[in-house]
Amino acid sequence: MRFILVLLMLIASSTAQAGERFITLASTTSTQNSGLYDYLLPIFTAKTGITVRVISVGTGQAIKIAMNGDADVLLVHHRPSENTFVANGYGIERRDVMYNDFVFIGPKTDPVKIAQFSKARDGVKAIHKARALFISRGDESGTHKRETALWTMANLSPSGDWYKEIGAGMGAALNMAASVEAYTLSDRGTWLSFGNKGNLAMLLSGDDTLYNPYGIILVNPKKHPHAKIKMARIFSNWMVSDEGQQAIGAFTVQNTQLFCPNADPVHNRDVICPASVPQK
Amino acid sequence: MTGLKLANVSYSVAGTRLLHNVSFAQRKKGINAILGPNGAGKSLLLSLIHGMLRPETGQVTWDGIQAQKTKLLRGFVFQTPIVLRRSVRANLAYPLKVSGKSNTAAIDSMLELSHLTALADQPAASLSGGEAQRMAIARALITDPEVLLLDEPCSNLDPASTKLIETMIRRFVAGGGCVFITTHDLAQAKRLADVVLFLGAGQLLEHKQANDFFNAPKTTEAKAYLNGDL
Amino acid sequence: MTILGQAAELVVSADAELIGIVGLSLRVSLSATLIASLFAIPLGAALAIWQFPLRQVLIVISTSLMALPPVVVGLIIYLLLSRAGPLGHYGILFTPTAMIIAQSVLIFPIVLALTREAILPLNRDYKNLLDAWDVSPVQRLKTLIWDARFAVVTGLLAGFGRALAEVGAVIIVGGNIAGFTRVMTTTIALETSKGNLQLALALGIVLLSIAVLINAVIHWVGNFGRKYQVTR
Repeated sequence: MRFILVLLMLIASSTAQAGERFITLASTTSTQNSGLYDYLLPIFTAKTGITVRVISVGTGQAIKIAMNGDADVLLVHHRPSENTFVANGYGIERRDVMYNDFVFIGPKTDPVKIAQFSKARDGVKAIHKARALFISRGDESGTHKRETALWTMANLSPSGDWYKEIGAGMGAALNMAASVEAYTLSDRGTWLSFGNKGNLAMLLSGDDTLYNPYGIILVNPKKHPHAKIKMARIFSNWMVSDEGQQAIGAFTVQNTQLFCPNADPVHNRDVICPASVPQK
Repeated sequence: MTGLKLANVSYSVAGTRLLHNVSFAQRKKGINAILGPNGAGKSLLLSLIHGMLRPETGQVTWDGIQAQKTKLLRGFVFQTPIVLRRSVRANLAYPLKVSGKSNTAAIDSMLELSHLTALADQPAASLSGGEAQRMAIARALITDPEVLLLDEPCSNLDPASTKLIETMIRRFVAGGGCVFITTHDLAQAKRLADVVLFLGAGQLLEHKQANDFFNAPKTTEAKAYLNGDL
Repeated sequence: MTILGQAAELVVSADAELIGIVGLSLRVSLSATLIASLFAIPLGAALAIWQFPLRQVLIVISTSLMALPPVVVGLIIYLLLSRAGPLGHYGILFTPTAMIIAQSVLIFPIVLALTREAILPLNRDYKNLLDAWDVSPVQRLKTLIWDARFAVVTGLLAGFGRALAEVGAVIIVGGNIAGFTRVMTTTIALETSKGNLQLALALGIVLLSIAVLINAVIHWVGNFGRKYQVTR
């Protein structure tokens, strides 16, 4: 069979690691799993000949990787952490790239009836009051940090049997929410492209506390001289260029745009963002 | 001094002394049978004579050199044949390989001698007891040793295998080799032995021509042993 | 479509990306097995044959290390290979080489312990004979390893299976980079995290089939060898 023959050929062939021009991007699972990079990066590589190797992990881990100098550029979505990263000298030239939003996911039946609310604060209050099953990522990711902030803003501290901190990624959280019919907070991109929605539905969104901006930062060559600053800068520049921003806006899943480019909010980009995604 | 010499040899195992001050000399020829009741130390003595064991006290020398240093001049056959997980032929070839040699002619003739030519390429593990022991003897002889030591080689074998093995032994001696053999089979000992060494409780009690030993044993232990009372 | 149907379709369509992933899985795990065995087989045999100080300690440690969690191995190797770590300047992190290193470390205790188990009974059998011939240590190792080869290969296969099936080590030191360090297990993990459970399962069946195929081939080769008792 052709498959076996090809397999044998592959095993026999030696490592062909050409003198590839590449940079390493530390980013988050929300951007990877939505499919954005699979769509975006080939465009960049075709134009510049630079391959982008993406390590997608939680925001906390991505930042650690960049701090260690194991990546050349960082793209995450937690502004306070990004600021600290730059302030401590690990990163330079931070820019806005794009944004989307977080959404509340829960069982279609919505026992707590959070769909009636337009404010996240009311939603978490209702969930807390009803002690409805809630899955928290609990992994210091951007999504988790936002979730924690939402509870704090409502003066609540969630704990008990109903509040499950799983210490895992968005996919695992959604899988679990689907199987036990629980509420959870997700980013829109991951939710839309998620393949196991089961009886879950998006119930609450549009509140400006759910605004989710992404930033791109170059690893500081002063801290890590080996960092490929030149190529990383080409990538960062492209991401905020007209072409890059158009491409980001053109990326859709199930006919829905997932990310809104916002590198230069003043300049008119002719890019339509879904009305439900809050502008800020 | 040519031949084997033991001087005040003792040996203990796990704190128990099993051989006491054994001393004797024996020329390097003929068939020498080591006899004695169970626990007398026969196998131990055989291993010391070969050189694979070092005496606790005293010396074992062949032609003036410590036995340990010239092990490879002597072949050893164990009571239960140790079979390498290979073909019969490969078993015979092994001792040669170990010393970096190879000798197809010798292997073929050894196979003939031990009547194993038909089984040459069979896995040695599939041999019967008698066949395996013949192979073990052939293997011990393949390096052309001066001395062959056998530890109760026929104790588990049928008369036909025993006969074949005794033929191999006699042939070796006829070619100039020297044999030391331990056995419980008095009939075998009478058939084969030129000289008898009789051990009792770790001591050498008698050392004489076989005829003399069988017809006129001196010690009470020997008499009792030959009578079947020991 | 049923999961089995999807698995079959994956195989038949021989999609280029999938072939790349499967090829990398095999390359990484096979290389790791060979490298680990190069050291573990003679060392395992030595543990079986000779007495030396600390032998018992080594045996206990090596047997316990068989239960090393892959993610722990991955973490340790990551810390070593990271730019912030002692071996960072080699720039090996997030490459297949790092994955091979991590899996070699993972497999080593398994092949070590199983080789020792394989050689022990044989050494007991052969010891008197080999002692009588004054066989050198190297010759003794070669003789015992060769004669116990079927059992030793079984240990090797166990190590290979462990490598092929693990995800914790390779995902940390490899980074699961698309088209570069993505293997079958990390792809399954990724698809699961995207909620594509059926695809993940189908990939799992493909992985299992490959493992079965490899084991079947080795088994058949073994039978062939046994039957005709390759003589040496």
